[in-house]
Amino acid sequence: MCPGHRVHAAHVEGWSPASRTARAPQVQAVLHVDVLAVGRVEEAGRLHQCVSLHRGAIMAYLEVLTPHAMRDPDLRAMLQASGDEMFGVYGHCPEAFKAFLQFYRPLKYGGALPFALKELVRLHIATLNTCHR
Amino acid sequence: MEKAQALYETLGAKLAGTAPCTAQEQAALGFAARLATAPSTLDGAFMTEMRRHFTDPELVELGLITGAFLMLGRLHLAFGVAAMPPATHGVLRPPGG
Repeated sequence: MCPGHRVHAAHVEGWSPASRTARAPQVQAVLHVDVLAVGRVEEAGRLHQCVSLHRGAIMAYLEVLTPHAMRDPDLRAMLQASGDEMFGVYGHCPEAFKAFLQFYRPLKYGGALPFALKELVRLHIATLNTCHR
Repeated sequence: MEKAQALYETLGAKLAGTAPCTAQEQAALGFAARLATAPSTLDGAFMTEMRRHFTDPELVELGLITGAFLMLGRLHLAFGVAAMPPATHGVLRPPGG
């Protein structure tokens, strides 16, 4: 998990990925422990307010759209099938993100180079970016 | 699923240095590290060495995917996107891909 990004909550009617549900009861504690730990006291208050609003799954900086709130059917299906909040974040700008995916998907899963080599590079870059993704 | 787990165990061992990388993998990791942290060092001498391991079309493919990983990783960090669940590969992989 990325440093400083351990503030995640899930309270979504009719949709709760297992990974989020497991953490949901600990949201209050996580907010205060992890956010304070990285010295972002003011953000602790802001995020606490966001969670209280129950507007959807709240992450560190952007609102994660729920399947119900996502207007693009393709991205909604991807979100529901994967539980990956990436789709809920980039779904705020569906046309641009889908155009990016049209470039990214065949590049990552096709092409001449082996998938394993590309994944090795991706994991190495995740380490360089200090983000496990 | 077991096949995928074995793949990521192997990749993790390679990145940890407990399993050997091929010469091509080492070259790709060096390219990625330089592109991410020191792009000015991607000079003629380095690229000549890269061409010993990759064809020109492969280098373009490697450059595009490495750039995409770099951009996405930094954006995920900026936006605080959580770790990728395994099911994402199944969603993103094109049919027959």
